[in-house]
Amino acid sequence: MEDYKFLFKVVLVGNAGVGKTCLVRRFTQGLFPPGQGATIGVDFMIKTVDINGEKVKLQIWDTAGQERFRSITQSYYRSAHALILVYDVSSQPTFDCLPDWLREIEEYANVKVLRVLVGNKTDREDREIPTYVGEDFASRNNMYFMETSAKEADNVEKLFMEIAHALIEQAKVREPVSKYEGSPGQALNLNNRPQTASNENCCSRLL
Amino acid sequence: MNDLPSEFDVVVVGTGLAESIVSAAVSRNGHKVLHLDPRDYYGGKWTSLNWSSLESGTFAKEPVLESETQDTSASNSDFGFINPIRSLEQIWYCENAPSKIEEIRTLSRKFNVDVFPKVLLARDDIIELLISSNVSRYLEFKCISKIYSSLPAPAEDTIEPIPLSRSDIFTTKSLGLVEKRKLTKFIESVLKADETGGNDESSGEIRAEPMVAKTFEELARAASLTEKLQHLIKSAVKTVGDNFDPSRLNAEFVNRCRLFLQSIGRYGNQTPYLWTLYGVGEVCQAFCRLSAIYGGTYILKRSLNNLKVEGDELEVTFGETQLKTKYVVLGSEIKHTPTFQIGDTRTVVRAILLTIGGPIKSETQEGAESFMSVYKINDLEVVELDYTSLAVPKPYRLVQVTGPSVNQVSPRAFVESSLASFLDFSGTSPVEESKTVDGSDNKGDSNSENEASNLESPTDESANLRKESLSNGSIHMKPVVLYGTYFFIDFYENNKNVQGLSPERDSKIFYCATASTEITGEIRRAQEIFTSMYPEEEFLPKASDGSQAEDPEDETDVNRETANATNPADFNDNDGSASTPTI
Repeated sequence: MEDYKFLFKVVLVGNAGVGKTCLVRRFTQGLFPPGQGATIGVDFMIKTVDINGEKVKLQIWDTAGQERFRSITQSYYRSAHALILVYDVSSQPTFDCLPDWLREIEEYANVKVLRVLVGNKTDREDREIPTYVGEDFASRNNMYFMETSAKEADNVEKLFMEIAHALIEQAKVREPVSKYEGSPGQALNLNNRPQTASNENCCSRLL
Repeated sequence: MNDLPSEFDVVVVGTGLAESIVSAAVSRNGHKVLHLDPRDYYGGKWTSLNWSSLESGTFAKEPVLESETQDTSASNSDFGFINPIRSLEQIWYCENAPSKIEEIRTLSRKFNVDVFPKVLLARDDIIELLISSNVSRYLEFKCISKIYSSLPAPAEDTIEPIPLSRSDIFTTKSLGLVEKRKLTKFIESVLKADETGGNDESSGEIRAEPMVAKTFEELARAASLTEKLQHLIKSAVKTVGDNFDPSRLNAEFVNRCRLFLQSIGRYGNQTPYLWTLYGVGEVCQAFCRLSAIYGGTYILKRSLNNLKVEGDELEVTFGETQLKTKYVVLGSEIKHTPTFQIGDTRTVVRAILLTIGGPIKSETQEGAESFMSVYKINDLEVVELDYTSLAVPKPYRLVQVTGPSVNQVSPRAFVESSLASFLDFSGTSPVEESKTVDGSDNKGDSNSENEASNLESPTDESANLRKESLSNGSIHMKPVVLYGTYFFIDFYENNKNVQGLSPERDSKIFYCATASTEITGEIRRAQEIFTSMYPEEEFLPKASDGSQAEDPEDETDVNRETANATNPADFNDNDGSASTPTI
């Protein structure tokens, strides 16, 4: 049941209220709006998609509210394969904060991370940021660009599917993108103990 | 501050280890937490810094708060900042190679330099807590591959590996046959002695009374350990800040021996030690992340200004914001002036050294293998990290030195003299070194601005920089220290005898500060504080796995937890292939 070929970590950033959680929930669960407080205790959502017959698992991480006062932990950015920077097309301030977010991304995220700029809430009548302005910002900063509406389910599926496509392409063309910027060997997760850690291996341990 | 609730259960200031654990424990159980830190980064003295933050020295200075209206040093504030770092000295040894310095600076974000580094025993309390709380899902570790010790005087300039397994003991050349047998026996008896102190009577050489009733000296005599063996055992188990006294009763010592031995191999590690990838600062951030996903509110660059009792609650202000809270928990860098006075203090000497030219001790002629090692050199604990630690980029090594404080000597003078036999502090450019050694051009160390110069293979590096022959011990090029940061760091308790004027206030304010330099001390303090606030509640019960799959119906926490119990799609999955999100 757990057969998938790729597992990618995707993280979302952007100001509070731009619809990050709505995007994730719309994509992973088809829901809108997400119930208030429903994200308590949830780190990330999972969705497995099929890309040209290959199963790809997307693990999508949300900010846990730490973006409200610009206090995201650096470790949030670690080992992300793709990063979605979201603003609200009906809110100039959320667009004006993008350079700050970019600085933070450049400081903490892997240099090879796939970066996508997303203007959300295209369903809103009171749009303040024209599409070309977003496009322009994205191209100047070497990012993919898309406008979405989590409410109308507009482009949401497409957004994540294209990210999955791009990541697979990247993975196939390059050396597998190491999550540690070139660190060899397997890292240890405390819950995964090697089988050899028992008594029979008397040569490597004393007990 | 806009849209901040006006009431919290607990306000925590500081994101050091104990504070982050308290915050996670409280938030995890559904209480409302506001978590502030005057710094613009997480972790306090447990943080991990990139190169420019390290070089700027700001970690040793007072934090700059966000709002101009907020000034902790103002006389009208009830709160102050205590700087645990003293006598900071930072020096480039390779001043004659500005291009090298420039190159290191451009790699700034590839550094994660711990202000107070910790190698963790695989069975340390922190590891158990990370597992039991499920906070381990945010962290990854690597095994430390070797432990070395300097030998007792007069051979204190010689370092040898500490044998840790049967095969190590069997193959080591540094112990005689009799010593090998004695060491094996000693280890067996320590492992057999149970918690209550009984030891296996059949183990012959150790007398039948409970092992814990012995001093280490007696124990050593009973096992007829040679001076060298005693020295090796002590240096293996001793930690910095440990008041180890071999003439005193040492139940703790035996327990520590056991913890040490039982930590070997738990994760396939050949030493008992694990290293936290990206540095120990990640551990604080992991607990903060848990706190946040359970609803904790995070604001950096903020601290409290004022505090007064308001009925059953405390009213606190920071900047323009005023809010109510049941409790206030203060990190070790924060003091509430009316209730704080420095009590017991332990001072530790620190050096952060950037080196080039391979490890201090090389096992092979080439010195090419990359690994992380711990050296116990006299009283110093030296953790040598290469790029696999993600604390330092290739081809450099980070040598993290921690030791007991020394009076009247500067940290730099002390560390330089203690390590002079093992490291080259002359600042001689590695380029010149290599030329004098083999007379050839050093292709790996060109002045190229190109990052490619950092990708030189360790083989080049070692071929050029190291000429070492272990078999006859003829030439051993010491690693060259390029840069050093030196300081003292204080660990202190709040003096419990301070009698404030307001008992109902003082019982709502908790201090995380502890004179223990061990992570276990931080956990204990966090647990004490939590239990004082919520005596009926469980401390950090296992959190749900944190993932939510495409199932649309599970809206309640209960459903989600049960759903996750059968959902293997997370980091802690037992299926090794899915455990890390590598492609």
